[in-house]
Amino acid sequence: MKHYRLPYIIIACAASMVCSCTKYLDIKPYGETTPKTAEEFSALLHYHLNSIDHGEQTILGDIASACYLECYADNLEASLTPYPAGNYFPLYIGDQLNRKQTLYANTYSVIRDCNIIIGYLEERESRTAKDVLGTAHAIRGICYYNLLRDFCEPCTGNLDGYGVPVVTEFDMEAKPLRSTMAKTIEQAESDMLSAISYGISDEVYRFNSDVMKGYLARLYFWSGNYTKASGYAREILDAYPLISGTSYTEMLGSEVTRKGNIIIKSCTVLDTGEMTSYGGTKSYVSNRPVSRSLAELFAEGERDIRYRLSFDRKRKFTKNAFACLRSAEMQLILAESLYHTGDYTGALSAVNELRRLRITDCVDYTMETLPPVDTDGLIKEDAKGNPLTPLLYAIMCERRKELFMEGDRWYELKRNGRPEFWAAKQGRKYTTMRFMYTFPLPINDIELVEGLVQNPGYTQTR
Amino acid sequence: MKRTIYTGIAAGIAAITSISCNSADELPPLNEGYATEYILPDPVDLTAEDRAVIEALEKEYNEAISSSN
Repeated sequence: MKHYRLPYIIIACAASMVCSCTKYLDIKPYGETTPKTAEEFSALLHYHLNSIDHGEQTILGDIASACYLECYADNLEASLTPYPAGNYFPLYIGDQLNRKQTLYANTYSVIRDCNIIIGYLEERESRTAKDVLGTAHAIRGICYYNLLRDFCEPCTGNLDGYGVPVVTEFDMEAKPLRSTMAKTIEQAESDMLSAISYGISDEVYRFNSDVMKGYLARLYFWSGNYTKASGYAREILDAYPLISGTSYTEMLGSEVTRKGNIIIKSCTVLDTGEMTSYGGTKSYVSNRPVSRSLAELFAEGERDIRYRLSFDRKRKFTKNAFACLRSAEMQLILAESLYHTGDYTGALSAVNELRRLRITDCVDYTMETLPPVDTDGLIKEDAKGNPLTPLLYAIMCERRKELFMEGDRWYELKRNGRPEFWAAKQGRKYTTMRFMYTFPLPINDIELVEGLVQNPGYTQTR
Repeated sequence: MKRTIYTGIAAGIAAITSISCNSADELPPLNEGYATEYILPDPVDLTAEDRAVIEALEKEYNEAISSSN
């Protein structure tokens, strides 16, 4: 009888082994993370920091993203693009709008890593722990700032509009809805201030208090808090004064090494393959000539040091494309912030100070000698919806010249009225429409998260 | 007795094969029309006025680069 039981036992064992594993992939390690020490958690950050050095498009941006941002805007004349070279880079923003869904997802992946560190690193007091936590806050704050600029409407006074989902804890099952713009700004601000409070000291983590103050100036400037923007811009300018002459040309001429008053810069460790890849992108984009509207801003010609640095006689851009934070941007934030807070004398003084460092034998502007607003220019209104004045126009023109090929102009257009404009390609007209300045949230998120609101203009899918 | 054993084995095999696949369809099906892109407005043909604008751009550009040589 004994030997009759054996097959039944085997069958029972086999059955129990097979049916017990139906949910083996659903086990979630609630409250359990593998890393324990700050050193171990820092591995999550080093991945992203390394990406910044080699070029990434989520946190700081890279050479390619700076080039593409210029392609979306009006510094280069899209309608004069030669083909077939023009097929290898975007004609206008519409060519890459759908790819921005990936940018959104990638940004939240970075935020997830920061959330894991901030939520689960128990060690809080050691120097390494402070550096790691500070950097996690810094990167998360920058990510929310980037999401605010790309996936939300411009901040024109009303901050009750849609922000992005604010996610501050690691939870795989959470399906957060969009916050308000005010809440998104608050999160970015809080993270940046937290990063400063940790006093990051190890250069490896690079988001020290100067970098974060620069980002706070950017955040406040974008969100219309001009008093705070000018305060932080001044602090950075005190620490990193404006430079001129040879120091300036060396700074802009150095494609990889961070020089001069650049506070933070990406793509500082490029291998041969990456150099070739970025070189290819620049080479293709340089086929698109600099627009007349930009070229004509250099009224002083060769006396303006930026003139020959920016483009050659064929109006092909020659300036190195950068994704960086540097003092000149702070000076321009200062000038415009003073303008918006009613300190016109201070604003004029700030723009003159920059011009004196860039233009040989520069004659200062006075309120009376400011050039008139170009009525044919794309930007017709300022960030508050008011018509441009000669003073603000002068500040914007300096900004356009100074930050050419640094991916700034696209956001200037967005911040100042989102003008519509078109480019031609092979007999067809492609229009950058007002809604395109605000990128679409991913289709997957919209379908999976009930109540998640898409930005206007993105209704039909395929 | 043999018959009982064979019946038992057959029943066991049937149980194993049916129990183990109770969640075989865990992944949601991919629809044929699975959307990945938003549809943007189509470009339109250039009008005579648009072509005049482009010609003016080309003229200005050609003159600018020839005068700077």
